[in-house]
Amino acid sequence: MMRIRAEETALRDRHQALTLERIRSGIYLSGTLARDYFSFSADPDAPALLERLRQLQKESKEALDQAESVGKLRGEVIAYWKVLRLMEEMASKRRSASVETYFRRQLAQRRETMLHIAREIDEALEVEYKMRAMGLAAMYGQFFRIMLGELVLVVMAGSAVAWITFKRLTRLEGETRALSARLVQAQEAERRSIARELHDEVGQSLTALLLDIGGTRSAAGQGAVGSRLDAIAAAAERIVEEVRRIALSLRPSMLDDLGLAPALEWQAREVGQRTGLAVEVVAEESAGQLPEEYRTCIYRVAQEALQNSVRHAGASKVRIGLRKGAGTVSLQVEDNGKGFAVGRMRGLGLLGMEERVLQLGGHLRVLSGDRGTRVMAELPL
Amino acid sequence: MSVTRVLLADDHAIVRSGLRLLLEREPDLQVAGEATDGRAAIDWLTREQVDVVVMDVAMPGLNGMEATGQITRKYPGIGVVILSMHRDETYVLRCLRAGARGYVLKESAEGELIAAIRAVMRGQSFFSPKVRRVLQAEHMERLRREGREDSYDLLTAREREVLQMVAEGNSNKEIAGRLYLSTLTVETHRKKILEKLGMHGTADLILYAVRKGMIQ
Repeated sequence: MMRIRAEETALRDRHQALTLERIRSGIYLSGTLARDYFSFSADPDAPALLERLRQLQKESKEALDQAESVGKLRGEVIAYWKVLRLMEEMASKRRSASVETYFRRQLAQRRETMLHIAREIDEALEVEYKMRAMGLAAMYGQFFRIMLGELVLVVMAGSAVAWITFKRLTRLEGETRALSARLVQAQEAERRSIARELHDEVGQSLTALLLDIGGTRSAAGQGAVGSRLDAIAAAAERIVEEVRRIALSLRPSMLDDLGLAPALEWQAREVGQRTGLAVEVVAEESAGQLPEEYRTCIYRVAQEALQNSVRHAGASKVRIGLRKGAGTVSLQVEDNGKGFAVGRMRGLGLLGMEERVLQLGGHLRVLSGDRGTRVMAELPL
Repeated sequence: MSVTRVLLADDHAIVRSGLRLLLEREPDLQVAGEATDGRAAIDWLTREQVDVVVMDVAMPGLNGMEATGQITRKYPGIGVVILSMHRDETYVLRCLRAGARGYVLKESAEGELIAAIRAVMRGQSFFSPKVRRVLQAEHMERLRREGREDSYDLLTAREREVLQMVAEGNSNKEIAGRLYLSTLTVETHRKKILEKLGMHGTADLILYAVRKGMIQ
């Protein structure tokens, strides 16, 4: 706003200076015309000269009306033009030498005064213009300083907000990750305890029940009670089957009893029987002994990858490789299926796999193309 | 009539008492003691003698497979019959490698445990028919899936004979005697069989024989 006003003022000043210039040049020109009139002009030329003088008078009057703060000048200009008019009236009669001298003196004097005033105004305007310009420059400077200050403030405030947001997000992400890690651990622990419970408590109770039925059966002989007891025993055996199946699907006991490789081999056989997929497990002997969370992580990643191969890839062969290197253990699940666009299809349990692997500080890579999919997980030990 | 002394190792009291009732119906079997886990079974054996240990797989502390390994190494004369909820071959193989020669599913104990104890007493192996069926079916299925030739076809008639006898629990010397061969020749056959089948020891051979339906 301030800047616009300052520019307006500057513009007005320039206009004022131009107007003054017009008045001054009008006076100069009229002086020349008057001199011509008195010195050289023959009578026939006089009307044209006078016409031009009148024109000049009119123009300078217009200029005076437009100009500001020219009170002193205005008086002088009006007086000057009056003298010229007298001269004009007289010229129509006769131009005498004495009159001529008078007019010349009068004219020259008035012209001198006027030009002086005009110059003074001009100078005053010049000074004011310069001051305004300086003020304007100062204002610009101030404006820039303020702007710069504001800009710095905005940038700083923005950065602060961004930093806080970033920290918050990082913290939230960390919390989310920790939470999901705890969730995964809790789920795994729950599965294990339910599986164990089913296996041990339910399984053992059924075993005892079956032994009991057996004892009663041999005492019962060949009657209706005997065949009834046979049916009961058969039902109990079916329950044992079911309990075993549920327990294994929750968490294979091999993972805790025998280690990772046997669990992977069991999983491979299980999937093979269920789907007809040829699953080969190539596990290094040394990769067997791993801490519990590593066994679980690798087992679940392999299980998920295998499920993807069955469900989505339409593969006929899968190879599961387990290797233990220097300070790392790596899993590779490779199929000969139709593959998928890794970037676009992050569903497929890939995020879950990644989450598990990241929790142990490892990394997961998925390569997929026309000739199948390869899931690779590497965990530091 | 000689009485077979049996140690029952299972962490569930109701299962132990059920087993005791089952065994004590047989006049030639005697439950000499009970242990609640693998460690207790090993401790018990330092004080008393038995012919057969009936061992649960899943026990707190020292599990049945670990305990079996320690017992069969320390007392080669003791036969171990595993009682297990699992019929998966990974468990069967692990138990065989630990030195157990009987593998009975808990749900089938009532009808099979007595037979298993007697088989082990004779130096033979015993597997629950359900386990045998699972292992055989799985073996066939795997060959079909992988489109692989059964390495059994690579064995000569004599090697198959030796394999059968090894799996049935005979020593090299016994096999040599029955086939009129030298122990060294039997040993050579045994090595050849392991090589052809890509296997490492007797436990693997027994498991293989079960898969092939060679053991009844």
